[in-house]
Formats: sequence, C-alpha cells, structure tokens
Amino acid sequence: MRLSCQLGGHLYAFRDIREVMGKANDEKSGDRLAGVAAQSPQERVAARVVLSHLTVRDICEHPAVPYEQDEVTRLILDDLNTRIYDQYKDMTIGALRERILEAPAEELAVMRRGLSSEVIAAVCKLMSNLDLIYAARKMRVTATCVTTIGEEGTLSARLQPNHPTDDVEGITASTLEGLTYGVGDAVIGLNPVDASTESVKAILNRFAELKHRYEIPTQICVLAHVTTGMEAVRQGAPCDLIFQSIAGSEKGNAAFGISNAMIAEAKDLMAHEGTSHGPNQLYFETGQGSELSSDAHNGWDQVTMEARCYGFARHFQPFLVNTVVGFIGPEYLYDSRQFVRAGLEDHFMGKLHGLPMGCDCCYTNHMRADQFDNENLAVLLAAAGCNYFMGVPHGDDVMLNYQSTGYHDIAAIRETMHLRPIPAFEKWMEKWGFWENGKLGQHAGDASVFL
Amino acid sequence: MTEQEIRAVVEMVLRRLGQDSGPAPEFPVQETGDVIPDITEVDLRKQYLVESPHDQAAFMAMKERTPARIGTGHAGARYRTETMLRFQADHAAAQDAVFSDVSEEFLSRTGWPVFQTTCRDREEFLTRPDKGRVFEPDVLESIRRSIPQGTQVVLYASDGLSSSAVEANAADMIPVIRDGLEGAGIRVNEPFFVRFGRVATEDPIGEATGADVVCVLLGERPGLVTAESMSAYLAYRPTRGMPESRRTVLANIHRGGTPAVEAGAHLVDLIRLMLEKKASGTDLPV
Amino acid sequence: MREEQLLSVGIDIGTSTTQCVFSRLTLSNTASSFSVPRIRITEKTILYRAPTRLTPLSSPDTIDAGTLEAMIREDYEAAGIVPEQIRLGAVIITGETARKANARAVTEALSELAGEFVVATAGPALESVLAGRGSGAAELSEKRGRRVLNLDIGGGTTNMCLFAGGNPVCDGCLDLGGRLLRFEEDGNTVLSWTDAMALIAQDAGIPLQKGMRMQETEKNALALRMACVLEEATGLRERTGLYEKLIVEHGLPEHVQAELYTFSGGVADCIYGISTENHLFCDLGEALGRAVARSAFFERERVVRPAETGHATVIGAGAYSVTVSGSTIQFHDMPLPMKSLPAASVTFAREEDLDALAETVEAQYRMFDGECALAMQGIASPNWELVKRTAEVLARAMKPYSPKVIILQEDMAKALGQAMSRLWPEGTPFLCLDGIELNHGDTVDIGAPVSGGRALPVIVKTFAFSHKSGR
Repeated sequence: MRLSCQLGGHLYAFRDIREVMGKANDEKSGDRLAGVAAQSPQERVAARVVLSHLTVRDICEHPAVPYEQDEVTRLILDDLNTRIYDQYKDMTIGALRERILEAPAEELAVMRRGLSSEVIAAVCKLMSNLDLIYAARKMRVTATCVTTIGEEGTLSARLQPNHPTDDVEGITASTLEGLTYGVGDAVIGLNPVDASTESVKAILNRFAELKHRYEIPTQICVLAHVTTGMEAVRQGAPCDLIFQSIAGSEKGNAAFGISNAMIAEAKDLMAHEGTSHGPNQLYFETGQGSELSSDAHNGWDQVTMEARCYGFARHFQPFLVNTVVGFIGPEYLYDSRQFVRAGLEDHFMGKLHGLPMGCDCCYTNHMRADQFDNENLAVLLAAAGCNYFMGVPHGDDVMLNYQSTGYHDIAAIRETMHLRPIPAFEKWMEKWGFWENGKLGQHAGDASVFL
Repeated sequence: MTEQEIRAVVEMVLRRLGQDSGPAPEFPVQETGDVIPDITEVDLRKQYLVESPHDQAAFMAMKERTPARIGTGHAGARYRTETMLRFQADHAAAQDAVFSDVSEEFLSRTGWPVFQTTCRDREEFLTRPDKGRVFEPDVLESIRRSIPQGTQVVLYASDGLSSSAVEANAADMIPVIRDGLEGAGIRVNEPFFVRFGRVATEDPIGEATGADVVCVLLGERPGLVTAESMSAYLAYRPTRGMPESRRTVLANIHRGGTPAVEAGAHLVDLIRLMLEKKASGTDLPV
Repeated sequence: MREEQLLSVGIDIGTSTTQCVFSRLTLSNTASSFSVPRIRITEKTILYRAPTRLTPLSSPDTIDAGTLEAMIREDYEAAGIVPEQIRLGAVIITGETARKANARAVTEALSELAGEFVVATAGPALESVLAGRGSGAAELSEKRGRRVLNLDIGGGTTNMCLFAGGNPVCDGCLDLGGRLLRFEEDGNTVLSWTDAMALIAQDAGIPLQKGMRMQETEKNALALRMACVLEEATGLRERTGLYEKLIVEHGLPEHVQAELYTFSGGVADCIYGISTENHLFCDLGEALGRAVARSAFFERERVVRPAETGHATVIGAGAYSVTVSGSTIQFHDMPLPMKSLPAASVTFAREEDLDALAETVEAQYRMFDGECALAMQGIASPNWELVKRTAEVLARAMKPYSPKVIILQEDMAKALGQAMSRLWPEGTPFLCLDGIELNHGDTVDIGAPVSGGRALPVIVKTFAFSHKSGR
C-alpha cells in the first residue's frame, strides 16, 4: 500500500487512508471545518493519484469506523457478496473507475454487490462531474410501493406541501395545485411541524382521503420520526411509506434516535400493516455533513460518511432515498459549485449502491447560491437519470425556509428532456386534463377543477 | 480616457442638455405616477394569476389558509414573469440580510458598543460556526468590564444570520425589556452588540459576568417570507458545554409575526420567571 | 400543554321551543413552535342535545320560569353534567319570546344557574349571526369562497345573515315563522294568531276567525305569501308593503347578492323534507316549509343543506359565541368573569390619534358612567416610544375610573399594558387584551383565563350589527 507520490516536483506523503480519502475530495467547506480537506489544489490531486493506486481491498479493509465499534459498518460489510468482492478486490480504484465507465448496466448491477460504501466513495472521488452523470445514467433502479418508480424514460416528483403550522386545509391547497402540474407520482409527503402522533395521523388521513376521492395512483407519507410513523400505523392510520433521516455511523444514527433494529422493526411493521403492497415501503433522507454536525464522523470526510448512509439504506430496500443536498448550510457546502458537486456525487453513489435514488436539489439563504444554480443541478441530475425531485410551490418551502425545485421545474424538465411521470399517474393526469401529449394540459395549474 | 475624464465629459453633456432645454424638465421621473410600484408590497395571499380558472373563488378560499406561493399560473411549463421576479426580490432581500453587516448608521444611532467574536469576516462566520461562539480573551475582558458587578440580566443583540432583523427589531425590543426589568427592580446592563455572533456567545458571556440570565437577540436565518425575523435565546447561568436544552427560545419576532414590542414585553415576564425559578429551557416549568 | 378542552352550554328559549346543547371546545396553540402561542378554538364537538320541548308559558305574556328552570335542570342531569363543569356558554332568548314581560329576568336567572361564565343574550342581530354560525353557513362561506345567506326560520321570526369568508356581512330579521298561526290539536281549527299573521292574511285575502276550520288550499296560500316575503327580503322579488311591515328592527340591504342559501331553524326540516314531528306543533310550519321548497330560492341549485338545521341557534350560542384573545396580554387583580361590559369605541389607529385620545377616553367614561371597556383598533407593530407615550396618556386619563379595561384589535396589549401598569400604584386592577374586534355599542363578557393563564375567552354580543362598516 503506497501512501505517497511525487507531483509537479513535490513529494506528497499521507499518513493513512483516512487522510487520502479526505484530501482527494473536491473542495467542501465541511471538510475544512472537519480539518480533513487538502491544503491546496495540488495536494488534492496528489491524494487522488495515491487513491487511484489503492486497491478495492485496501479501502474495504479500512472502514471509516471499525467493524467492532459500529453496527452500520457491520451491516455494510456483512451484506457484501464475497464471491463478487473477490472478483474485484485486487483492482485499483483507478481501474475500477474505468471499469464502471465501460461496463454495461447488467455488469454494474452485479458488481455493486461486492463494493463496500467506502469503495464506492473512493471511486466517486476520482470521477469528474460528467463522469458521475455518465456512469449514473446507465444504472436504472426501480422500486415498488403502490406504483413502481425509476423506469426508463420516467422522472417522478415528491409533492411537498409543507405549511408553517400544519394547517390541514392549507396543506390541501398546496397538494391539489401540485397534482395539476404532475407532481406527486413519487409520493405526497409532508414535513410536519408538530411531530405528535395525533397531528401526523390527521395529515395522513387527509392525504388518504384525497387519494381516494380523486383516485390518485400514488403513495402517501408524513415525514415524522420513525417511532411516530410506526405509532400512527399501529393506531390504524393509512400510511404507504414510513420515513426516517439516516446517518452513516451508529453514533450518527443515535443522534437521530434510531438504530438498525428500529429500522428493521419499521420495515416489518409496514410489511404487515402498511396500506401499500410493497415490497419497498421505506423512505430515507440523507445529506452530506450530518455526521460531522453530530460529531459522529470519526475524523472522516463527508463524502465517505454519506456513502455509508447508502450502505445502511440498501439493507432495508427502501422505495425512496434522497439526499437533501443543500439544506445543511454553508459550513458544509458553501456555494453553488459545492452543492452541485455534492448532488452529483450523492446520486451516483446511491445508484451504485443499487438504491432508487432521488435528490432534493435545494439551498438555504445563507449559502452562496440561488435558484439558477438549483435549476442547473436539477437538469444535470435529470440527465443522470435521477429517479425523482421535490415539488414545492414555486420552489419556496414556507415551513423549512429553504428553496427547492418547484412544481413548474418538474414540468419543464420533463418536457425539455422528454421524460414522463410514472405511467399510471400519467394516465390519471391525462384524464383530468393536466397532461396531453407529453406536455402540460389545459387544466394544469388550475386546482379549482377539483372543487 | 480615465474614469475621471469620462465623468467630466458626461457632466458637461448633461449641463448643456439642461441649458438647451431651457428651464428644468417639467416631468421629473421621480413623480409617483412614473415609478413602477414595489412588487414586494403585493400580498401574495391575495394574488391569483391562473387564466380562465374553473372556480377562482373556491380556490382563493383555500389559498387563504397558506402562505405558499400557489395560484401562480404558468407560461408554458415555466413561471410567469411577475412571480419569478417576486421570488428573486425576496431571495435578494434574504441574501442582503445574511451577507451584509449591521450598518454603522444603526450602531451610531443606538450608541451600542460593538464586540466581535473570533471570526475575521463574514465568510469565516458562515463556514466556521465554532469561531462564532467565542471571543479573544481581551475582548471577553472588555465585555466583562463594561458590565457592572451585580448585574442580574445581561442583554445584547447579535447579527447572527440576519443583520436586517437586528436593524428592524432590536432597537425597539431592548428598551422594552430594560424598562420592564428596571421597573421591577432588576439590574440589567447597558446593551451592546456582538458582530459575527452565534447563540452560544451567551455561554462565555455568562461565565465572565456571573449574570443570572443572559439573553441574546439574534437574527434568524431568513426565509423568503421575511428577512427580518429575529429570535431571542435565553439561558439561566449559561456555561460552555451545557446542553442546548437549557436554552429558552422565542422565535418569529418581526412585523408579520410577533411585533418587537410585544415580544419584548413577553420576555420581561419570561426573564422574571427564570429569575424566580432559577432555571431555563426544558428545566423551566411554563 | 398543547390542547385544552372546555365544556360549553347553549340554551335557546325560542317562540315555540326551548333547546339545550352541550359541546366540547378544544383550544390549541396554532402558532409555530418556539413562538409566542396563538390560542384558537380548533374543534367543536356536540356532546349532548337535549330533547326539544315547547317553551313553557304561564300566560300569553309570561314565560313560566319555574317550569323552564326545571326543564334545564333535567337536561343537565340527562347529560351527566353539573353546572360547575361548564366553563362557558350562552343563554339566548329569541323570536317572539324575547318580547315577553319577564324575558330578561328569566335569561339572567338561567345564566346564573347554567354555569360560571354563561352569559345572557338577546337581540335579533346577534341571533341571526349565531344561527348562521351554528348552522355551518359561516364555515361554508369560508371553505367555498362564496357569499352564503343563512335564513333561520323559527316559530316567530326569520333571522337572516349573509356571510363571506367566514365573517358576517349584514343581517336582517322578519316577523315571519311557522307558529304565527296556531291550530287546535286536530291541526285544522284555528286557535290563535299573531299581529304579523293578521297582516299576512289580510294581504293574501284570507279571513281569519278563531274556531274556523282552515282548508289546505288556504294554508298553502298563506304559506306561499310568506315564502314570497322571504324572496322579497333577499332580493329575489320586488319588495312590497307587507315586507316592510314585517321587518323587525331592520331588514337586509336591497342588493344582498348571495351566491348560496342555507336554511336553518325549526321550519328548515320541513323545507329539506327531513321527517320530523312537526305536525305535532299544530301550526303553519309544515306548509311554510313546503312553500319555501318550491320557491325561487331553489332555482339553479343555489340552496345547500347546512350541517345543522333545527339546532343552529342553540349550537351557535353554545359553541360559536366565544372567541379567544391574543396571548400576549396584561391583566392583574381583575375579578373574572366580567359580564355585560359595554364597549366604548375610542379612535386610536394612528400616531396622530394620540392628541385627542385623553379627551375621547374621558368623554366615553362619562357617557357610560364609568362602566365600560375602551375598545380601540391599536397600531400594528408600533415602536416603543409611541407605546410609552400612549401609555402615559391613557394611564392619566383612566386613573380616576374603574374598571380599567382596554380591548385592542392589533397585537400590542402586553407592551402597552406593562407600560401603563408601571404608571399606577402597584396592584391597581387592570386588564388590557388584544385580538378582539369590537364596535361601539357591543357588549363583552370576559371569562376566566384559559391555556395556563395566557389568554382570555371573550363573548362579544353585537346589537347594532348591520351598522358595521361592512366587514
């Protein structure tokens, strides 16, 4: 294992794999905050050179948190297929990058079962932005809850009708308008302010009522803590998907108040009592930097920790996984360059894990970014074959106080890139006059047709 | 030509134009009739731009219940010009609130002394939360010296993530709180301002001054609805490393939320309760 | 504490019948977390409806107070509720009954009996608003974004109120109801009639005589004429002299322009064809219901059946009469509840109003003999200097008077109240609250604090409703 290299006449020597992995990252303010970033562009490239010569085995045998100390690590490594791993273990990360770019989709679907999350993070660091798009585009990942997401030629959207006080009528107003733009085929899912079981049930009941009254082929969810979601289901609330935010280490998950066992319990509960047929009935959200914010990164960089979220997620075969890429703030992703890069990385890493990956393309008002940057990221990810985006009224989330992709953005990207909603949902839209010949229809934008 | 030369030429041309046209122009462009009205003054809850809707009244009744930007209509699959520009205007206000400093004019008007955390500039403040929580030893000593012995409540403002919030609210709130506390015989400091400050600046200030209650009025991260929202964070005898649950928060202080003077009056009662119960945050029975 | 539940009672002593309904009101904090709370009534559940009974009279002019009180006591017993459990509510005396000699004494006695903060109310304007709220017409106007006119047709009067966006816009009242004409038990022999009925019969050309047997065609002709008057009242037909004569206090404006109509009151069930025991009443109610069902109201699907019909007014009184103040308010040492305090309107909505403020306050206290609440609009998000100056003016002007009660519309009561109380000797009883809109001549009842002392329940009794500025 060689940890030093010459570059441009300078000698760069790294202490260990952790330092190489941190310094090989594209610049992120969060890696600086953690003290793991390269000091100069040249040092960054040197780290990449070193990384390109390390093997799959070198990386896999040095997990970010030791196997004995961390249940996430155990879950990631225990899930690997050893025969497939053996096939790739002696390949360098540089060669693995090229194999991924060359390989047909079928080979990637097999290969990923032998790649640990750290290996996927490593290869991600050697990919350019277009590499990340090109490689991800080959990997279609579908999942089935009520409908099936991720088929070739589709782009779905989560309808996110958030409200500052969870007013059910206000939520309904945003929901109905979103539906007219074709948003909501991934899920109708609300981030609640009031995380009480009563409030969550009231919103689920309203979503179920709308779904039933207008015969909408989709899934519904309220994004409360998994324990609240389970309690609501146990009390008989209609629920197609249970949600949870996840992290890439046991300590990070503990900060979210969850564990492997708890997610397994939720999966089992949904199999028996969920209102969807599945088999994919969970919804996870991630985002670079969350481990550092709870001091659960074990001195590792945020790309590697993010990859481990996907390693954790894939064990539970979720229906939806998305990174909330720019929500965490400028101390982790400072500007548009950093959040565009992070969005492409996360989507690629998720897909290579075999996850039905979506993305919340978003930014807060204390980042150096604006809606134009956000539109750019969404178009790049649509080109990369991203499964779904968020749909928020005019891109402005009035509860979480950040900006995301708007209802109109979903419609415009579909038209521009010849993408469609999930087929059953598309038929439903055509019936209401919201969609005609692959474009918005005459009633798009007019939610009063429901009244 | 240098910039100065260009300016001279332009000024000359303008003078000549003025002479040629005789007396001053009769229709100055600043007349109200000529100015395009402020798009940020439009009440979004009442705005409806859907063309030939099925039932506008019924939708407006629903829209009344949410501040979300709905009923906006569309141009093809894109936004209409009016709503797009409004979104940009609101975002611009939010960014100005975050990235600009509290003005010198405001600070000289209030006369509040300014102390700075260890952040060098705003970029460092935004990317290094750890540095926005602490002071250099000499700065902390100056703060301590500015506060008389026996002060029970230390009250100050800090920019946080919105300088606009401080300028819009703090000058009204601080005197309400001081008048209320002093009226009840509670000793409170002369207010000051902390630049590049985060919530936890309370902790070193609490430790240095030995005050019973520390209260910081801090600019909130702006949303698009308002860039002027402020929060008050209060703690009973805060210390470095204490759990965050020991802080009491009052958020959403702005013209459209809780007005500054009402929030100030509310804080008077809250601080008196903290002094009486010797507790804050989740330890405080409310 | 996020939620609090209060038991409330509504009692309606009407021309024909008396009703009593118990409800549970849920108060919750609807503000976002870490904000100053905003307490609202978020749910109203009817717990028990006592059986509807004929209003007992000891003579044509006098309510039989003893029997009535016994009836209400029975209702409490049947509901399993003791008056001490009741936190608020209203007794309303409506229609013809309000004109009985002992009406006021009876309602006041009943309100004392019914619970601590149960207020006595009367008046056609208030009745119209409560019936429209209780029927669900107000909510309908809010949900559907339509102007909804509720017609509450009782035994003696018809109370009309137009709602838009959940708020009353205008109201009117007519001497027109199902029990203007009463029959013997056989349902056909004329027993008695009111003065209003005499006018209607004369207009319709049908002679009335005690003991005469009335044909169905004659009943229908009377009912038809009454239905026509309702059309006249609501702008669906040109107004006649008879309409003018039947107005109680005031009618609706001529161009009322409702988009939807709802009917409530005892006659409503006959309109919607709901099976009831109306024939037991031996009056004109059933015929009137049938006539309205065939009237111009029902053209073009403009009529919606509301959630409540027969019990609309009593539910309005029990569950919809109360509002909750803002939760940054200031009060101490006030004896609560305070009942029937008239609202004295004081102009204070702009800084310039300060100049005349002291004078206005004095004038109002003089007009009400010192017994009033000062109602002002206030200023949205005022600055502290202005609040302090206002406090000084008010503190000086109010000093000699008691009770010291200020009710504001805009959110500024706590800042103003704190500033004022510092200007008086410690412990001066004083109350300053906001979030309540009042008009000159309204009467307010202020209840004991709810939600851990943060807010006060307030019942606003509107008497001169139609003179409002059209909000």
